[in-house]
This record gives sequence, structure tokens and C-alpha cells, in this order.
Amino acid sequence: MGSISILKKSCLWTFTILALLFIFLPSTYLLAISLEPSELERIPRNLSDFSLKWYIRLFHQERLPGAIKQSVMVGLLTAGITSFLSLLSGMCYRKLRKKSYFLGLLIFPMFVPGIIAAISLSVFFRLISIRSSMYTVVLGHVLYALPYATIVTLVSFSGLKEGFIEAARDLGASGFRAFKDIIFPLTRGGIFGAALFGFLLSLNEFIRAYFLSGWQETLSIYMFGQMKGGADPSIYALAGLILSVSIFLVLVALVYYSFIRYSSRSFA
Amino acid sequence: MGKPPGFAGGSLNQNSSVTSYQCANLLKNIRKFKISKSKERILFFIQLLPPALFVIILGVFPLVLIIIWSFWEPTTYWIKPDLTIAAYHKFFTAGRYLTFLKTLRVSCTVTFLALIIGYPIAYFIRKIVSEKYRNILLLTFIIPFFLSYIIRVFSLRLILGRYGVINNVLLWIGLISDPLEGLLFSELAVHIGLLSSYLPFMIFPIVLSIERVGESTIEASQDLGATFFQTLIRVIIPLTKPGIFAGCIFVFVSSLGSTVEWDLLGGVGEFSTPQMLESLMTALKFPSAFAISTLILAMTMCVLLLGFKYAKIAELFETLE
Repeated sequence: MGSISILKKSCLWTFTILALLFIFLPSTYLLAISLEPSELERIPRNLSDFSLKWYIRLFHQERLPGAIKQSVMVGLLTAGITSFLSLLSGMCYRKLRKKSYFLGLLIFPMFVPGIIAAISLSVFFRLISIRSSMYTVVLGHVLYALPYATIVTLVSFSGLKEGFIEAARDLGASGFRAFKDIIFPLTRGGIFGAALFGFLLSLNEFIRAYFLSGWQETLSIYMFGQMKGGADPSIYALAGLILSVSIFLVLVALVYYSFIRYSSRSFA
Repeated sequence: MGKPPGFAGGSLNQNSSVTSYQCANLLKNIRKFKISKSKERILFFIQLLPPALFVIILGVFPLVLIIIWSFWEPTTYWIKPDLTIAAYHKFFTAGRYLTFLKTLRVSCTVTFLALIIGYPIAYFIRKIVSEKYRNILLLTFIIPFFLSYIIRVFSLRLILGRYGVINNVLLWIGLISDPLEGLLFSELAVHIGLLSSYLPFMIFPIVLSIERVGESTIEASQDLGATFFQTLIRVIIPLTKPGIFAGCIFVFVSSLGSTVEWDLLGGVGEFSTPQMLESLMTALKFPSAFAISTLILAMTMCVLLLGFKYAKIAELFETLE
């Protein structure tokens, strides 16, 4: 678009940056507040005022370690199952005749409002008399993360040419060998992305966990309770901690992806 | 997996007389090929069935279940088979539909706002910004998907609250002398919360659909003398209908089903359908909860069908094929 003037372009830049501020400023502000030692909701006034006081307080919260452990377990299981299922769908997607039906089915859960998915799953588990536990939460979370994971995986599989696999098979590679040496190395970015989606979506999910978990609460449920109950500023520290962990994982993923891109470039 | 290895040598063409050894070899290879073909089919189903069955059993069947159960009769702790519309009748007589309409109105407003804000941003990212910045911008809009929406909504309290950023700034400028009270715990706050949660959901489908509009199409329109806005309205927007529709459905469905924004930002009087569902479930009033769920589902499915039929949402995913 050569016809766009500098003025219009800078207007659009401003607009986009304002939208980004609208999305990110509140969380950033919360991170800053979590470092203020007093009970006031404000950013520390001096550089020397920054303290991890409220973060250290988190160690004294009795129910927190259990919730963290539960969330990490649920997240890891969700990540594993989600990436496995989306890997399978990526593998068979090439050979499918009616691709859009399959894709439509797999991304369908994305269009079901969260609370309805949660309610329907909880009564379904009740029907087949499965008690609420960590595993019911995992199943709910896999269903929630699968559409996103499938899309990420299919994008990475779309770069995989059928000829590569044929070539491997013609050279005498077994199906497993072709998977190990050709398919997996070329699609690992998508599979890893699926796992990341599984873990982080599960970690941060609330309503499904609320309806599906047993006596042991997840981190999101615990945090939501604290937020509603008007707890002390350590809630900011807890939120800050979860934000930091999420951002750290996203950064790790970014480094990993640029590494994959770099290595595949040198390979080409 | 092209042809069986026995065909590859071309030995049939060279010799007109085929030895029985070659014949036997060929048959063996054909049998092998058939076996590997059927093995491949089995493998194909092993790959296809787990994800498909997972979604059918846990994602589709339970929804059918609550639709059926919404016509059953309540008992003290559970429900029993029946065919009654009592739950739906209650929905309209007990004033629950008013809450439903309010939730619907808020969701529509938020969807509209997200479209107005999201479209220019998506267009900017895909067509105007240079490639270097495009990826950075796309990435920054992906990050919210990975952050806790509870925390993001909760942190808005710090911005909108009585001692929050907005009030402090306004006081500092001198526009107001007392902090504004109505910012937090109001319908306005709920709108803001929903918008900040779901804006990225609007941007991505639109970016995808703008990607599919070729540069030459836009150039052709401009060569024919169309101004920028004529091109936008006559060419680009009609061609990006799938993205617009998909984004609107995402935002609409998500805000229709979200509880957190109402819980954390809404006032005491603010009550939404998802919260109503939550309390109905806690009160063991199952058929009523199922009836409301069915209504929401029916609406969602209608919007979805419309999207697939008239806006060709499926085109968005063609790049995957």
C-alpha cells in the first residue's frame, strides 16, 4: 500500500500501541504493585523501596503448596495428552479425504462457551459415575486446549511434504524410522507449541477446573477465592508470580523457535 | 508409498516371455503391497480415532446430554426422565430471561467494539507495517492467550478502582476534585474487562483473512480510480468477511460464557447468565440450568451455522490443507 500517507500510518501506530497498552498495562502495573512493601496499592516510590516481602509471605499460605502442586500436575498431564492427540491428528490429516469435517470437529470445542462445557462435562462424569478428581480436570482442560494445539500442529505439518516421507520409505525406512528421522524433526516446533498451549491454558483456566475438580483446588481456583475475598497484598505477589512464570515459559519457547528456525536455515 | 517394488524394475517390458519365477515374485510383491496397504489403513485409524473420539465423547455427547436432560423433571437431588418444558417456562416467567437479555446485550456491545478496534489493527499489522514489525506485533497479540485471564481481569481493578490509575491521573490533572466512584463495579467495568480479555480473539481471524486478499486485487481497485475508503468498503471488507465473522463469533461466544469479568468487575446488582448458571448448579436446580445452557448453545450454533454458510469461515483454514 504505497498510498498510505505518513500521517495515517502514524495514526495507526498510535492506535495499535494504545490497544497494546490497554491489554498489557494493567498486568504490568500489578507486577509493579506487588513489589511495594507497604499495604498501599501503589508503585514503590524509590528504587530502594522495591521488595519481595509479599512474595516471601506466600510461603506462609497453608493451602498454596497443594494448589500449586495440583496445577502443575494437571498442566503437565494436559500438555502431554494434548500434544499426543494433536500429533496423531497431524499425522492422519494428510491422508484424510474430508479434511474440513475433521478439522471442524476438532476445533468445535472452541465455540462452546466455557461454562457450558464445564457444566456438561461435570454432569456427564456424574452419569458414568466418575468422581471429580485431578483426572476429570485434566480431561476438561485437554478438551479446552486441543483446538489451539491442533491448529498449531497442523500449521507445522503443512510444511511437511509428502515426498519426504515417500523418499524415506522408498529408501527402506520403517514407518517408525520415518517418523523418528523425518516427521518428528520437521514438526517438533508444532508439537512443542501444542504442549506449551496445553500447559499454559491449563494453568490459567478457571471455570472448568471449578466445576470439575474434587476437594483439591487448583491454583486458579485458590487465587480466585483470594481475589473475591479481598485478601492482603500477597494476592498481588501470587498473581505476579504466575504472570512471571507464564512469561518466562513464553520466552523459553521464543528462544527455542528462533533456534529451530536458525538450524533449519543452516540445513537448507 | 507409490507402487509395489516389483513393478519398478520394468522387467515385464524387456522380456516378452515371463518366467514363472518372475511371476511368483510379482505375486509375492503384490501381496506384500496389499498387506502394507491394509497395515497402513489400520495405522490411519489408530491415528484418526483417538482425537476424533475424544472430542465426540467429551465435547459433543455431553452437550447432547444436557439438551435432552433439560426436558426432564427435577427430583430432590437429581432428575428423572420426562418430557416437560417446565424449565423453559420458568425461564420466561421467573424473570431469568431479563438477565439473559442483559448478558446478550453486553456481549453484542463488546463484540461490536472489538470489531471496530480490532479491524484497523489487523489491517495495519497485515498490510501496512513492514515484515520485521509485523511479526513482533503478532507475537505481542499472541502473548495474552498465554496469560491468566483471571489475573488480567483482576489487574483492571487497580486501574479502575477508587484509588486506581485513572482516578489518580484525573485528580492530578485537576479534571475532577473527588475520585469517580462508578468506574469499578459497574457495567462499564464489565465491558472494559471483556474487551481487554477478548480483543486478541478478534484480531487473529481477521489477520488470517486479510492475508488471503492479494496485493494485486487492491492495486487493481486503486488503478480503477477507487479511493482508499472505497477500496476498503467495496473490496477488502467483503473479501475478509470470513475473518470478521469468525472473530465476532469468538468474542461473542466467549463473552457470553464468561463469569470472571462479572464476578470481579461487576457491581453488586450486576448479575449475568453464566453466574446464574453457576448458582443454579450449586442449588441443584439441574433442569433449569440445562434449559439455559440449551438456549445459549442453540444461539451459538445458529451463529456458527450462519458463519459457515454465508461467511464461509471454513476458507480461513484452507491454508492448512
